Amino acid sequence: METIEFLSRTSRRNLKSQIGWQVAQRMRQWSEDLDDRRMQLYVQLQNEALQVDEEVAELLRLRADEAERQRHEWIHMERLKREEAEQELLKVKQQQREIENSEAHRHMQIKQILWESKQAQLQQIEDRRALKRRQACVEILWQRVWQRLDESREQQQQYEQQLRRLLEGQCQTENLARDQQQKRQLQQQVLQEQRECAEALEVAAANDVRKREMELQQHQAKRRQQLTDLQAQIQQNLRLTASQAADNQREDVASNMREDRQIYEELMQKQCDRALNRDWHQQYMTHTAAERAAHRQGELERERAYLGTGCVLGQRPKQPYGRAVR
Amino acid sequence: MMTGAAPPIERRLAFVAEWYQAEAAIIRTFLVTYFVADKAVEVFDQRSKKTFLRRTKIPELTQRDFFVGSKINVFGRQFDIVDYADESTRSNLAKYRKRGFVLLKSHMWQKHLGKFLKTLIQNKININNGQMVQFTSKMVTQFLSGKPKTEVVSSVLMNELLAGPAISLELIGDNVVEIMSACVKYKRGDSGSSSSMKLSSSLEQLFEQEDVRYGIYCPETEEDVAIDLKFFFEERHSIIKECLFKGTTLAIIKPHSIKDGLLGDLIDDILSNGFNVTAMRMILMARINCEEFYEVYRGILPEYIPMVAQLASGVCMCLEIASSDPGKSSHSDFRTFCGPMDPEIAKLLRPQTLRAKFGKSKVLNAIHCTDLPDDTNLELQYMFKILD
Repeated sequence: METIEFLSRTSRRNLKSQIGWQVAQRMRQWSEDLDDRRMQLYVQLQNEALQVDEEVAELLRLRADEAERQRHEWIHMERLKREEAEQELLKVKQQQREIENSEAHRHMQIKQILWESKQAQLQQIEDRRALKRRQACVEILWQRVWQRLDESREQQQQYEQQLRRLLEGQCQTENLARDQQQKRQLQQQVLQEQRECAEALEVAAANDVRKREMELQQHQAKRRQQLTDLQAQIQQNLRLTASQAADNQREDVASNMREDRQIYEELMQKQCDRALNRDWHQQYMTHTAAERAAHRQGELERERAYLGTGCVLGQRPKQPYGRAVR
Repeated sequence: MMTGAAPPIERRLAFVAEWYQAEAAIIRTFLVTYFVADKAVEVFDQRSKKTFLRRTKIPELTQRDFFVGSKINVFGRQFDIVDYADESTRSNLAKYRKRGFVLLKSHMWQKHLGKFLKTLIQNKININNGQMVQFTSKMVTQFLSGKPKTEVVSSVLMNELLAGPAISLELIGDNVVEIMSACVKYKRGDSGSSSSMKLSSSLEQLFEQEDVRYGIYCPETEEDVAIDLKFFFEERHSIIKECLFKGTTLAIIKPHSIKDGLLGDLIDDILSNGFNVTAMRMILMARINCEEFYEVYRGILPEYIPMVAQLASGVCMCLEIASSDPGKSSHSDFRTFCGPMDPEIAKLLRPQTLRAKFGKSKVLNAIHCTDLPDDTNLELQYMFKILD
């Protein structure tokens, strides 16, 4: 529908909706087209994928076939080769057997073997001989070495000996003189010592005797001293006990007298106290009687003074009241 | 104060990067730091003075992706690196990683494009951007207006450029400008500078051929390079060659092949097996665009998500392929030439196909080709017309 024609017939609002509708329609068309294209593409890709799949499968199958064929071929070839080899072997074996079977061949073979063993023996003997020779050589060599070693050692010892002798010869006389002197000194010393020893022994013997005497004397003196000490002690003890007994007696007497005196004094004191108490009591009684009389007198006088005045003299003072008091 | 806290040995590269926010139609500037040791990226928002993305490992980015002029993809967001952010990075990289420009004339690239790319990649010169261009006479005059060439050279060049489609390439590499100008002057003997620059044996072998030597144009100074790059890749002159859309098919060389340096081998293989390239461009696709592009495969292939991630992981090269024999269907021919999707199967069944030679796995299968015959024009249009 043309816009001009549309405008002439309808309002603007509807034009807008018309445009919107057209846009929507176009969009729908586009999406349909897109779907269509997608479908086409899908089909095409699917077909191609199938084709490719088929081709790959074919290729793989061909490869597998090829591999199998090759394997078969190889096996076949291998078998042929093996058969051929077997044939060859059989032929050779046959030939060998034939050769072995013939007499001449056997004789020749024995001869050959004998000859070879002889050769081997000879060779062995030769070898052994060579070995022995070699051993002998080695032994000789060792002997020589040992000899050489011994010689050198001897030479060395000899040389050492010579050297030692030379050194010794130089200082032998000196050594001898010194030795003699030392010996002499030693002898003198020994003699001296022996003499001193004898003297000392004598002195010791004398000292011994003296010492034994002194000890005896000392022992006796000690005994004696002990005896006298003991006697003196006994006497003193006796004296002491006597004096003690006298003292005790004296003291007893004195204490008796003292006790008697004390008892007497106490009795005297008691009597004095009693007399004093009695006096004081009498004094007190009289005093209280006088006091009471004075008081009664005072009362009487006061009553008399207030007689007829109407004053209440003997009023009781006011008592507090309350639960505690009650 | 942050540099004092960081360990002194750690090597990092800092760049100023721009991101075009489509909703607000503004360009926002970020500071992108790449940590070489653990391949981590940190993004700092300079306007709000806040960390935009904290240090995160992104294993698909390598040190080779970071240079001024490159476009990197961080979680589906495209950052254009415009400058170095610190002096150490500048002194480290600016000396070596220079941008270069080369224009391949039509008669040269049709024979030697694959070999040329292969040799450049061998000599550690990376192809950062490229497109096939078709000059109109107006464009040629505009292009040649600032050139200090003599009249003769200019007119010859103009005729050559008008003769057929040319291919413009942005190159990244050590001293690339000097190397390329030395290559052009190789064997001419008219300049002393050629003797000072020692070319590698492979380059010498390539530029031994006269038609290669005369078949390329490259500026000689860095200022000219900048002007030419701006002319071809930044200003929209709509000089990119139109697709034929008739009896052609689309091929996309996937980012992993470009990163592995297989671009030259792939193109060489394609050109030498009876196919022509009728349009070409290199783009870094945003993740959302990749998803849109692969929409047909959603729910059909189980590898849909890794396929999208792979396509978004870096620059890819889109080619419009036509069979050189007009009687054949280029779509089915090229599809057969690419081989089965799974490189393992391809190696088994069709060892001569591209995916068998260069693919690694079902996702990293080196090249994408249009699967449905009806979709060729749709995909070509998406790549060459809709994406911009």
